Amino acid sequence: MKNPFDELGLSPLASVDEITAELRDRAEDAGDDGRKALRKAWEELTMHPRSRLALSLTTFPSTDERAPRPPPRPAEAASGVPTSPSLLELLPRPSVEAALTSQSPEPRGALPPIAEDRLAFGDAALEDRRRDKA
Amino acid sequence: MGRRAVTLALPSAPPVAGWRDEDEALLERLEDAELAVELWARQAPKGSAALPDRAAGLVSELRKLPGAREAFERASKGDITALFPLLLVEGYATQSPLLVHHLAIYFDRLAAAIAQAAEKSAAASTPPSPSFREELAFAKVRSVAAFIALRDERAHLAACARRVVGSQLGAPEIDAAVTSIAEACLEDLGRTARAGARKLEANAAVALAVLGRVDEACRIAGSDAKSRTRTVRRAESIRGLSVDEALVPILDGLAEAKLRDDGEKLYPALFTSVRHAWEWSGGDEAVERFAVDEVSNLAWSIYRTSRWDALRALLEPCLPLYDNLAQRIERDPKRHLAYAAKCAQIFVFRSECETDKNREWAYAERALGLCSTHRNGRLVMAHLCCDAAVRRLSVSFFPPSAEVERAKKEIARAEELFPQSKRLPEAKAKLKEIIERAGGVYVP
Repeated sequence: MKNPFDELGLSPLASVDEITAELRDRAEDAGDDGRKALRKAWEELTMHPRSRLALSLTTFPSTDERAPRPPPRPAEAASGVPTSPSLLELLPRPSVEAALTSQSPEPRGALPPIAEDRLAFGDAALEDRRRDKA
Repeated sequence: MGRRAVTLALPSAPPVAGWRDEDEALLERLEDAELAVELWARQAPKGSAALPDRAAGLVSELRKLPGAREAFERASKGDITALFPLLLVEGYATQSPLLVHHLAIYFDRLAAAIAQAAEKSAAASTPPSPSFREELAFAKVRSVAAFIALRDERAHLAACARRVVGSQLGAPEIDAAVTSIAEACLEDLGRTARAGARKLEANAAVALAVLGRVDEACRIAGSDAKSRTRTVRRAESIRGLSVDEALVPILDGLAEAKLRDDGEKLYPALFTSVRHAWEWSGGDEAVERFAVDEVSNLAWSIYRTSRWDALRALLEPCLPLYDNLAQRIERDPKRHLAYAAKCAQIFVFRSECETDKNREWAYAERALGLCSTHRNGRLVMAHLCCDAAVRRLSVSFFPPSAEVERAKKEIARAEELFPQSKRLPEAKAKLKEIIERAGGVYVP
């Protein structure tokens, strides 16, 4: 028997409200069959705590899944007081900037027109467009 | 805590300034997730559904085992097989319950993936992996063992349960959920076994085999004697129901054959089905007893009319079953006392319809070995002893003295086994004649 916690990637510690909200979101994009399956899973998981308990004990146990705090910003680390980021902190570091610009085939400051933007259209599309022009 | 020396991405990265414990924990979790994916890809059949991200917790727990450091160093260099021995840790009662919980689910999912791959192969008419039954049973036994250990330990599952349902369920209901977790595994195996029993399906055979290996699962779990006895008894009961289910169509067939005039022709095919059910069940004792019970009355009706070919044809399909049951009785006569006489009678039948003199003797000896007081066994053996003595004394006009001595012993044995034997007077008369011919005195 398939376990809905596994099938739907839900945490076994999720509350009934969390399960309901998650499955409702999924149901919006699902087809008829998908909705039926989601409905069945929702019933299994929420109609009685006993069935949710049985299913939660037969899936991989949940450990502490909280994401770690990001490292403190230098100013914050120095003062120990939360502060707004300064303009300096928002700028890329020279090493990062160098790494980004060294790979760029385009000269800095001279952005291509939007019709030729590789990011917007991709290399293949631009190549086709150039061939059409030729 | 500094940057660890061993990571998947940066095997020898130097310590990084500002590296925090939580950064370390996150990195380790990501590495564990990566290893869990690799481990599953290596152990599960190709095309199996991926495990949820929480499976990384298994790798995290394996890291804590003694000797894990070296295995993880090898795994980080690409040798994921180095982690396999860690998965096979035993004595679950002394391991971290969280690790045991992860192992229970991991092996359960592995077994399900192997079963699903076999079903796909069957649907595509391609042969499954030759070792799929062993692999499936192995994974399932490990999973059952882990659930047994968790049930015995209780505290871990109870804590998990409280985190899941909070105060929605009371302590007795949580306790019942924890207690029933191993039982649910056994019931699930029983359902699989019963569902495929009548058609002797492969998955059902594996479920049955796992139910037969619950004692081994208890050993892996490190259960105490009381828990072990209770669990094994329950598994045997479920297993018995599944075996009975496999025998239902045969029983129906036998009942129908007994009502038909030409029913005797159907018996060999029906007893061939019994042998197939026995093979499917992995040589279950209940099937052997069923064969003995069912064949006995039919054999008697044929025996009374001295139709030896028909008797041979009736017994032939289940010979390995009778031999196996006989071995069980010989190994532990007290435990199998109830079937000693029945099984002995089968060997008497085999002796009676045998054409080879040596085998005829050997079967009669085996019948007496199984049940020394078996009347028919003693009668047949006495007959054979007299027969042998007469033949021995008839080889020449003056048989060698050694042969005469052996004949004397055979006649004495016949007299001891069954004094009323009809062949005994003839054998005694022959012995008397030979002794007197040689100038001796016959002393009965």
